[in-house]
Amino acid sequence: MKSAVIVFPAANCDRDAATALEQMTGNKTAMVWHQDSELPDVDLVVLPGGFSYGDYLRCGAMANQSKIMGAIKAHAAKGGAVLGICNGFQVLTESGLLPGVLMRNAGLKFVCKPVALSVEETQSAFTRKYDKGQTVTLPVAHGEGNYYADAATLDRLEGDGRVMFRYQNNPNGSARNIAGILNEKRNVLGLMPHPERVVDPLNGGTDGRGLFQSLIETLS
Amino acid sequence: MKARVFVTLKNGVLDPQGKAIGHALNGLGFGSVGEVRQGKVIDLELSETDAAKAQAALKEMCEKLLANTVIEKYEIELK
Amino acid sequence: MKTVTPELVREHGLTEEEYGRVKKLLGRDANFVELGVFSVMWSEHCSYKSTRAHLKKLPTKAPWVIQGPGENAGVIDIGDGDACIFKMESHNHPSFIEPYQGAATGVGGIMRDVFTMGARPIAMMNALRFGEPSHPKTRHLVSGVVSGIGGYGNCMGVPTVGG
Repeated sequence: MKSAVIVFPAANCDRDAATALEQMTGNKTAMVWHQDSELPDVDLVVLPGGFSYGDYLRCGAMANQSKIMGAIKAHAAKGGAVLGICNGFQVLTESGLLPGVLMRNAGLKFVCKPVALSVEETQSAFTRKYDKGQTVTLPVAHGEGNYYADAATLDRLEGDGRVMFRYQNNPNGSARNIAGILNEKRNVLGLMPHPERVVDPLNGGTDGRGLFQSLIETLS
Repeated sequence: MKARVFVTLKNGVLDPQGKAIGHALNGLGFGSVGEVRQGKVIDLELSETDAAKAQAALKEMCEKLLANTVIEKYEIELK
Repeated sequence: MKTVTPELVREHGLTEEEYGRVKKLLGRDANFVELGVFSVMWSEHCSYKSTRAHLKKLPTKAPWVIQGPGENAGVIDIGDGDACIFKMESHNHPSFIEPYQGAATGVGGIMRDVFTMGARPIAMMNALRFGEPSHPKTRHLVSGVVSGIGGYGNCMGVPTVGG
Protein backbone atom coordinates (compact mmCIF):
# COMPACT_ATOMS: atom_id res chain seq x y z
CA MET A 1 0.00 0.00 0.00
CA LYS A 2 1.37 3.40 -0.96
CA SER A 3 0.49 6.39 1.20
CA ALA A 4 0.91 10.13 1.46
CA VAL A 5 0.69 12.36 4.51
CA ILE A 6 -0.32 15.97 3.95
CA VAL A 7 1.84 18.55 5.76
CA PHE A 8 -0.13 21.66 6.71
CA PRO A 9 1.68 24.49 8.49
CA ALA A 10 1.67 23.57 12.21
CA ALA A 11 0.54 19.99 11.67
CA ASN A 12 2.69 18.22 14.26
CA CYS A 13 1.58 14.60 13.99
CA ASP A 14 2.65 14.20 10.38
CA ARG A 15 5.90 12.45 11.25
CA ASP A 16 4.15 10.11 13.68
CA ALA A 17 1.68 9.18 10.94
CA ALA A 18 4.51 8.56 8.47
CA THR A 19 6.43 6.44 10.98
CA ALA A 20 3.36 4.32 11.74
CA LEU A 21 2.64 3.81 8.03
CA GLU A 22 6.24 2.88 7.32
CA GLN A 23 6.27 0.42 10.21
CA MET A 24 3.07 -1.20 8.98
CA THR A 25 3.65 -1.20 5.22
CA GLY A 26 7.42 -1.27 4.90
CA ASN A 27 7.07 1.49 2.29
CA LYS A 28 8.29 5.06 2.51
CA THR A 29 5.46 7.55 2.99
CA ALA A 30 5.27 10.55 0.68
CA MET A 31 5.16 13.83 2.66
CA VAL A 32 3.06 16.23 0.60
CA TRP A 33 3.26 19.99 1.19
CA HIS A 34 -0.14 21.70 1.49
CA GLN A 35 0.68 24.11 -1.32
CA ASP A 36 1.27 21.36 -3.87
CA SER A 37 -1.49 21.01 -6.43
CA GLU A 38 -1.02 17.30 -7.11
CA LEU A 39 -0.81 14.14 -5.10
CA PRO A 40 1.70 11.40 -5.92
CA ASP A 41 0.23 8.12 -7.09
CA VAL A 42 -0.91 6.68 -3.74
CA ASP A 43 -3.66 4.47 -2.36
CA LEU A 44 -4.12 6.28 0.95
CA VAL A 45 -4.02 9.97 1.81
CA VAL A 46 -3.66 10.88 5.47
CA LEU A 47 -4.54 14.28 6.96
CA PRO A 48 -2.59 14.25 10.23
CA GLY A 49 -3.21 15.75 13.63
CA GLY A 50 -1.83 19.02 14.91
CA PHE A 51 -2.77 22.66 15.09
CA SER A 52 -2.76 23.69 11.43
CA TYR A 53 -2.66 27.47 11.13
CA GLY A 54 -2.78 27.68 14.92
CA ASP A 55 -6.51 26.84 14.72
CA TYR A 56 -7.03 30.39 13.41
CA LEU A 57 -10.69 31.27 12.65
CA ARG A 58 -11.81 27.67 13.27
CA CYS A 59 -9.87 24.41 13.56
CA GLY A 60 -9.09 23.20 10.07
CA ALA A 61 -10.82 26.15 8.38
CA MET A 62 -7.65 27.65 6.95
CA ALA A 63 -6.05 24.31 6.06
CA ASN A 64 -9.21 23.55 4.09
CA GLN A 65 -8.30 26.46 1.80
CA SER A 66 -4.97 24.81 0.85
CA LYS A 67 -4.15 24.13 -2.78
CA ILE A 68 -3.80 20.38 -2.13
CA MET A 69 -7.45 20.04 -1.09
CA GLY A 70 -8.53 19.95 -4.73
CA ALA A 71 -6.37 16.90 -5.37
CA ILE A 72 -7.57 15.26 -2.17
CA LYS A 73 -11.22 15.77 -3.14
CA ALA A 74 -10.52 14.32 -6.59
CA HIS A 75 -8.77 11.33 -5.01
CA ALA A 76 -11.81 10.76 -2.78
CA ALA A 77 -14.24 11.18 -5.68
CA LYS A 78 -12.39 8.45 -7.58
CA GLY A 79 -12.82 6.16 -4.57
CA GLY A 80 -9.34 6.65 -3.14
CA ALA A 81 -8.94 6.17 0.62
CA VAL A 82 -8.64 9.24 2.85
CA LEU A 83 -7.94 9.11 6.59
CA GLY A 84 -8.31 12.24 8.71
CA ILE A 85 -6.92 12.06 12.25
CA CYS A 86 -7.82 14.69 14.84
CA ASN A 87 -7.02 18.03 13.12
CA GLY A 88 -7.29 16.04 9.89
CA PHE A 89 -10.86 15.08 10.81
CA GLN A 90 -11.55 18.78 11.44
CA VAL A 91 -10.21 19.66 7.98
CA LEU A 92 -12.40 16.96 6.40
CA THR A 93 -15.57 18.34 8.03
CA GLU A 94 -14.63 21.88 6.97
CA SER A 95 -14.16 20.64 3.42
CA GLY A 96 -17.51 18.90 3.29
CA LEU A 97 -15.90 15.51 2.60
CA LEU A 98 -17.45 14.49 5.91
CA PRO A 99 -20.67 15.84 7.47
CA GLY A 100 -20.94 17.69 10.76
CA VAL A 101 -18.44 19.79 12.67
CA LEU A 102 -15.97 19.41 15.54
CA MET A 103 -16.57 21.97 18.27
CA ARG A 104 -14.82 22.95 21.51
CA ASN A 105 -14.87 20.16 24.10
CA ALA A 106 -17.97 20.52 26.24
CA GLY A 107 -15.82 20.54 29.39
CA LEU A 108 -13.67 23.31 27.82
CA LYS A 109 -10.47 21.51 28.79
CA PHE A 110 -7.87 19.97 26.49
CA VAL A 111 -8.20 16.21 27.02
CA CYS A 112 -5.06 14.10 26.70
CA LYS A 113 -5.47 10.43 27.66
CA PRO A 114 -6.07 6.91 26.33
CA VAL A 115 -9.79 6.28 25.77
CA ALA A 116 -11.78 3.11 25.26
CA LEU A 117 -13.68 2.97 21.99
CA SER A 118 -16.19 0.51 20.62
CA VAL A 119 -15.62 -0.51 17.02
CA GLU A 120 -19.18 -0.09 15.74
CA GLU A 121 -18.77 -1.11 12.13
CA THR A 122 -16.42 -3.58 10.53
CA GLN A 123 -17.82 -3.37 7.00
CA SER A 124 -15.19 -0.92 5.83
CA ALA A 125 -11.70 -0.70 4.43
CA PHE A 126 -10.64 0.87 7.73
CA THR A 127 -12.05 -1.56 10.28
CA ARG A 128 -12.46 -4.99 8.71
CA LYS A 129 -9.64 -6.46 10.80
CA TYR A 130 -11.42 -5.58 14.04
CA ASP A 131 -14.33 -7.51 15.49
CA LYS A 132 -17.71 -5.78 15.60
CA GLY A 133 -18.22 -4.40 19.10
CA GLN A 134 -14.54 -4.84 19.98
CA THR A 135 -13.08 -2.46 22.53
CA VAL A 136 -9.92 -0.70 21.42
CA THR A 137 -7.90 1.84 23.38
CA LEU A 138 -6.57 4.83 21.43
CA PRO A 139 -5.17 8.08 22.85
CA VAL A 140 -6.97 11.38 22.38
CA ALA A 141 -5.28 14.77 22.63
CA HIS A 142 -7.63 17.58 21.67
CA GLY A 143 -9.45 20.68 22.82
CA GLU A 144 -12.00 20.69 19.96
CA GLY A 145 -13.26 17.14 19.50
CA ASN A 146 -16.93 17.62 20.28
CA TYR A 147 -18.68 16.13 17.21
CA TYR A 148 -21.92 17.86 16.26
CA ALA A 149 -24.38 17.39 13.40
CA ASP A 150 -28.13 17.97 13.23
CA ALA A 151 -30.46 15.15 14.18
CA ALA A 152 -31.27 14.20 10.57
CA THR A 153 -27.56 13.86 9.70
CA LEU A 154 -26.87 11.84 12.84
CA ASP A 155 -29.79 9.51 12.07
CA ARG A 156 -28.51 9.02 8.56
CA LEU A 157 -25.00 8.25 9.82
CA GLU A 158 -26.39 5.64 12.18
CA GLY A 159 -28.81 4.20 9.64
CA ASP A 160 -26.09 3.86 6.99
CA GLY A 161 -23.70 2.17 9.42
CA ARG A 162 -21.23 5.03 9.09
CA VAL A 163 -20.46 5.58 12.78
CA MET A 164 -17.18 3.69 12.98
CA PHE A 165 -15.99 4.33 16.52
CA ARG A 166 -17.89 5.35 19.62
CA TYR A 167 -16.51 6.59 22.97
CA GLN A 168 -17.34 4.31 25.88
CA ASN A 169 -16.80 7.24 28.27
CA ASN A 170 -17.45 10.39 26.29
CA PRO A 171 -14.49 12.74 26.96
CA ASN A 172 -15.68 15.76 24.96
CA GLY A 173 -19.49 15.89 24.67
CA SER A 174 -19.68 14.45 21.12
CA ALA A 175 -23.21 13.78 19.93
CA ARG A 176 -24.17 10.11 20.31
CA ASN A 177 -20.60 9.52 21.65
CA ILE A 178 -19.31 9.57 18.07
CA ALA A 179 -15.52 9.32 17.79
CA GLY A 180 -15.15 8.49 14.10
CA ILE A 181 -17.32 8.49 10.98
CA LEU A 182 -17.32 7.40 7.35
CA ASN A 183 -18.53 9.30 4.29
CA GLU A 184 -21.35 7.98 2.13
CA LYS A 185 -19.01 6.23 -0.28
CA ARG A 186 -17.23 4.60 2.69
CA ASN A 187 -13.75 5.63 1.51
CA VAL A 188 -13.15 8.64 3.75
CA LEU A 189 -12.76 8.13 7.52
CA GLY A 190 -12.39 10.86 10.10
CA LEU A 191 -11.68 10.18 13.76
CA MET A 192 -10.51 12.25 16.72
CA PRO A 193 -8.40 9.57 18.48
CA HIS A 194 -4.86 8.82 17.24
CA PRO A 195 -4.42 5.28 15.86
CA GLU A 196 -0.90 6.10 14.65
CA ARG A 197 0.20 6.55 18.28
CA VAL A 198 -0.58 2.93 19.17
CA VAL A 199 1.14 1.02 16.41
CA ASP A 200 4.54 0.60 18.07
CA PRO A 201 4.34 -1.49 21.28
CA LEU A 202 6.95 0.86 22.79
CA ASN A 203 4.16 3.47 22.97
CA GLY A 204 2.12 1.36 25.36
CA GLY A 205 -0.44 -0.22 23.04
CA THR A 206 -1.01 -1.67 19.59
CA ASP A 207 -4.77 -1.24 19.10
CA GLY A 208 -4.12 1.17 16.23
CA ARG A 209 -2.57 -1.56 14.10
CA GLY A 210 -5.96 -3.02 13.16
CA LEU A 211 -6.92 0.15 11.29
CA PHE A 212 -3.75 0.16 9.21
CA GLN A 213 -3.89 -3.61 8.67
CA SER A 214 -7.45 -3.24 7.37
CA LEU A 215 -6.32 -0.63 4.89
CA ILE A 216 -3.30 -2.64 3.80
CA GLU A 217 -5.47 -5.70 3.20
CA THR A 218 -8.03 -3.70 1.21
CA LEU A 219 -5.67 -1.57 -0.83
CA SER A 220 -2.64 -3.75 -1.57
CA MET B 1 -15.50 50.42 1.81
CA LYS B 2 -15.48 48.98 5.31
CA ALA B 3 -17.52 46.03 6.47
CA ARG B 4 -18.10 44.33 9.77
CA VAL B 5 -19.15 40.69 9.94
CA PHE B 6 -20.65 39.16 13.08
CA VAL B 7 -20.33 35.39 13.34
CA THR B 8 -22.36 33.76 16.09
CA LEU B 9 -23.51 30.29 16.99
CA LYS B 10 -26.93 29.25 15.76
CA ASN B 11 -29.62 29.08 18.41
CA GLY B 12 -29.71 25.70 20.04
CA VAL B 13 -25.99 25.00 19.54
CA LEU B 14 -24.30 24.45 22.89
CA ASP B 15 -21.91 27.26 23.86
CA PRO B 16 -19.78 26.09 26.80
CA GLN B 17 -17.46 29.08 26.39
CA GLY B 18 -20.42 31.43 26.76
CA LYS B 19 -21.48 29.51 29.86
CA ALA B 20 -17.99 29.78 31.36
CA ILE B 21 -17.97 33.53 30.69
CA GLY B 22 -21.36 33.84 32.38
CA HIS B 23 -20.18 31.98 35.47
CA ALA B 24 -17.03 34.10 35.64
CA LEU B 25 -19.13 37.28 35.51
CA ASN B 26 -21.41 35.96 38.24
CA GLY B 27 -18.28 35.18 40.25
CA LEU B 28 -17.09 38.77 39.85
CA GLY B 29 -20.30 39.94 41.49
CA PHE B 30 -22.49 40.54 38.43
CA GLY B 31 -25.34 38.42 39.67
CA SER B 32 -27.74 39.86 37.15
CA VAL B 33 -26.00 38.09 34.25
CA GLY B 34 -28.02 35.20 32.87
CA GLU B 35 -27.33 33.43 29.60
CA VAL B 36 -24.17 34.41 27.73
CA ARG B 37 -23.25 33.48 24.19
CA GLN B 38 -20.04 34.55 22.49
CA GLY B 39 -19.10 35.05 18.85
CA LYS B 40 -16.66 36.77 16.56
CA VAL B 41 -16.36 40.15 14.91
CA ILE B 42 -14.39 40.36 11.67
CA ASP B 43 -13.62 43.80 10.28
CA LEU B 44 -12.74 44.01 6.59
CA GLU B 45 -11.57 46.75 4.25
CA LEU B 46 -12.74 46.29 0.69
CA SER B 47 -11.59 48.11 -2.41
CA GLU B 48 -15.10 47.58 -3.80
CA THR B 49 -17.15 50.82 -4.03
CA ASP B 50 -20.49 49.39 -5.15
CA ALA B 51 -22.53 48.49 -2.06
CA ALA B 52 -24.56 45.75 -3.76
CA LYS B 53 -21.43 44.08 -5.13
CA ALA B 54 -19.75 44.35 -1.73
CA GLN B 55 -22.75 42.80 0.00
CA ALA B 56 -22.81 39.90 -2.46
CA ALA B 57 -19.07 39.31 -2.10
CA LEU B 58 -19.29 39.40 1.69
CA LYS B 59 -22.13 36.90 1.68
CA GLU B 60 -19.97 34.55 -0.37
CA MET B 61 -17.03 35.12 1.99
CA CYS B 62 -19.21 34.17 4.92
CA GLU B 63 -20.57 31.07 3.22
CA LYS B 64 -17.13 29.92 2.04
CA LEU B 65 -14.84 30.75 4.92
CA LEU B 66 -15.80 33.19 7.64
CA ALA B 67 -18.66 31.15 9.07
CA ASN B 68 -19.18 27.43 9.38
CA THR B 69 -22.81 27.37 8.38
CA VAL B 70 -23.36 23.99 10.03
CA ILE B 71 -23.30 25.69 13.43
CA GLU B 72 -22.82 29.42 12.80
CA LYS B 73 -24.90 32.27 11.43
CA TYR B 74 -23.62 35.63 10.22
CA GLU B 75 -24.66 39.25 9.91
CA ILE B 76 -23.05 41.74 7.56
CA GLU B 77 -22.81 45.46 8.27
CA LEU B 78 -21.57 47.80 5.57
CA LYS B 79 -20.16 51.10 6.77
CA MET C 1 20.80 62.74 23.96
CA LYS C 2 19.64 62.79 27.58
CA THR C 3 22.27 63.49 30.24
CA VAL C 4 22.89 60.63 32.62
CA THR C 5 22.10 61.80 36.14
CA PRO C 6 22.00 59.75 39.36
CA GLU C 7 18.20 60.09 39.15
CA LEU C 8 18.20 58.57 35.65
CA VAL C 9 20.48 55.74 36.76
CA ARG C 10 18.06 54.97 39.59
CA GLU C 11 15.11 55.03 37.19
CA HIS C 12 16.95 52.49 35.05
CA GLY C 13 17.05 50.09 37.98
CA LEU C 14 20.82 50.21 38.52
CA THR C 15 22.27 50.74 41.98
CA GLU C 16 25.01 53.31 42.69
CA GLU C 17 27.46 50.43 43.04
CA GLU C 18 26.44 48.92 39.71
CA TYR C 19 26.76 52.26 37.95
CA GLY C 20 30.18 52.64 39.52
CA ARG C 21 31.17 49.37 37.83
CA VAL C 22 29.78 50.63 34.52
CA LYS C 23 31.98 53.74 34.74
CA LYS C 24 35.00 51.59 35.54
CA LEU C 25 34.36 49.34 32.52
CA LEU C 26 33.83 52.26 30.14
CA GLY C 27 36.49 54.49 31.67
CA ARG C 28 33.91 57.32 31.69
CA ASP C 29 30.23 58.04 32.31
CA ALA C 30 27.79 56.02 30.21
CA ASN C 31 25.65 57.82 27.65
CA PHE C 32 21.89 57.36 27.56
CA VAL C 33 22.00 54.43 25.10
CA GLU C 34 24.76 52.67 27.00
CA LEU C 35 22.84 53.15 30.26
CA GLY C 36 19.82 51.48 28.66
CA VAL C 37 21.88 48.53 27.46
CA PHE C 38 23.52 47.95 30.86
CA SER C 39 20.16 48.35 32.58
CA VAL C 40 18.68 45.54 30.49
CA MET C 41 21.71 43.24 30.51
CA TRP C 42 22.14 43.59 34.27
CA SER C 43 18.41 43.29 35.07
CA GLU C 44 17.25 40.40 37.23
CA HIS C 45 15.48 38.84 34.25
CA CYS C 46 18.52 38.81 31.99
CA SER C 47 21.34 38.25 34.47
CA TYR C 48 19.72 36.34 37.36
CA LYS C 49 21.90 38.47 39.63
CA SER C 50 20.09 37.56 42.83
CA THR C 51 20.67 33.84 42.26
CA ARG C 52 24.04 34.07 40.52
CA ALA C 53 25.91 33.49 43.77
CA HIS C 54 24.09 30.17 44.23
CA LEU C 55 24.20 29.14 40.57
CA LYS C 56 27.99 29.60 40.64
CA LYS C 57 28.19 26.71 43.11
CA LEU C 58 26.78 24.22 40.58
CA PRO C 59 29.22 22.02 38.61
CA THR C 60 29.66 22.93 34.96
CA LYS C 61 32.58 20.84 33.79
CA ALA C 62 32.74 17.10 33.18
CA PRO C 63 33.82 14.76 30.37
CA TRP C 64 30.17 14.43 29.30
CA VAL C 65 29.52 18.18 29.04
CA ILE C 66 29.53 18.97 25.32
CA GLN C 67 28.29 22.52 25.81
CA GLY C 68 28.31 24.21 29.19
CA PRO C 69 27.25 27.71 30.24
CA GLY C 70 27.40 30.46 27.64
CA GLU C 71 25.05 29.20 24.95
CA ASN C 72 21.27 29.01 24.58
CA ALA C 73 21.04 25.58 26.23
CA GLY C 74 23.33 22.96 27.72
CA VAL C 75 24.31 19.81 25.82
CA ILE C 76 25.15 16.59 27.63
CA ASP C 77 26.57 13.39 26.13
CA ILE C 78 24.24 10.58 27.27
CA GLY C 79 26.08 7.77 25.52
CA ASP C 80 25.34 5.64 22.43
CA GLY C 81 26.16 8.66 20.27
CA ASP C 82 23.20 10.56 21.73
CA ALA C 83 23.13 13.95 23.37
CA CYS C 84 20.49 15.57 25.55
CA ILE C 85 19.83 19.29 25.26
CA PHE C 86 18.31 20.86 28.32
CA LYS C 87 17.32 24.31 29.51
CA MET C 88 15.58 25.77 32.50
CA GLU C 89 14.45 29.26 33.35
CA SER C 90 12.17 31.27 35.57
CA HIS C 91 9.44 33.59 34.31
CA ASN C 92 8.07 35.31 37.39
CA HIS C 93 7.39 38.87 36.42
CA PRO C 94 5.72 38.26 33.04
CA SER C 95 3.52 35.57 34.61
CA PHE C 96 2.51 37.95 37.37
CA ILE C 97 1.57 40.72 34.94
CA GLU C 98 -0.37 38.52 32.50
CA PRO C 99 -0.47 34.88 33.65
CA TYR C 100 -1.52 33.14 30.41
CA GLN C 101 0.66 35.05 27.94
CA GLY C 102 3.49 35.44 30.46
CA ALA C 103 3.71 31.69 31.03
CA ALA C 104 3.19 30.96 27.34
CA THR C 105 6.11 33.17 26.32
CA GLY C 106 8.18 31.40 28.98
CA VAL C 107 7.46 28.11 27.24
CA GLY C 108 8.18 29.65 23.86
CA GLY C 109 11.50 30.97 25.06
CA ILE C 110 12.60 27.69 26.53
CA MET C 111 11.77 25.77 23.38
CA ARG C 112 13.59 28.38 21.34
CA ASP C 113 16.67 27.87 23.52
CA VAL C 114 16.61 24.16 22.71
CA PHE C 115 16.02 24.36 18.98
CA THR C 116 18.58 27.13 18.49
CA MET C 117 21.09 24.47 19.51
CA GLY C 118 19.85 22.36 16.59
CA ALA C 119 17.76 20.00 18.72
CA ARG C 120 14.04 19.18 18.62
CA PRO C 121 12.20 19.75 21.93
CA ILE C 122 10.45 16.52 22.92
CA ALA C 123 9.14 17.14 26.42
CA MET C 124 8.56 19.89 28.96
CA MET C 125 8.28 20.05 32.71
CA ASN C 126 7.63 22.78 35.21
CA ALA C 127 7.98 23.47 38.92
CA LEU C 128 5.63 26.25 39.94
CA ARG C 129 5.53 28.28 43.12
CA PHE C 130 2.73 30.65 44.04
CA GLY C 131 1.80 32.76 47.05
CA GLU C 132 -0.81 32.09 49.70
CA PRO C 133 -3.71 30.02 48.34
CA SER C 134 -6.06 32.30 50.23
CA HIS C 135 -4.79 35.43 48.47
CA PRO C 136 -7.42 36.69 45.98
CA LYS C 137 -4.92 36.87 43.10
CA THR C 138 -3.50 33.37 43.53
CA ARG C 139 -6.35 31.46 41.91
CA HIS C 140 -6.24 33.70 38.85
CA LEU C 141 -2.46 33.36 38.57
CA VAL C 142 -2.48 29.57 38.94
CA SER C 143 -5.19 28.98 36.35
CA GLY C 144 -3.65 31.46 33.91
CA VAL C 145 -0.13 30.07 34.20
CA VAL C 146 -1.21 26.44 33.93
CA SER C 147 -3.37 27.10 30.86
CA GLY C 148 -0.68 29.28 29.30
CA ILE C 149 1.89 26.52 29.63
CA GLY C 150 -0.55 23.98 28.21
CA GLY C 151 -1.77 26.25 25.45
CA TYR C 152 1.66 26.97 24.06
CA GLY C 153 3.09 23.48 24.51
CA ASN C 154 0.07 21.72 23.01
CA CYS C 155 0.13 23.90 19.91
CA MET C 156 3.81 23.16 19.41
CA GLY C 157 3.15 19.45 19.82
CA VAL C 158 5.50 19.22 22.80
CA PRO C 159 3.82 17.49 25.75
CA THR C 160 4.17 18.76 29.31
CA VAL C 161 5.07 15.51 31.03
CA GLY C 162 5.33 16.65 34.62
CA GLY C 163 4.84 19.55 36.96
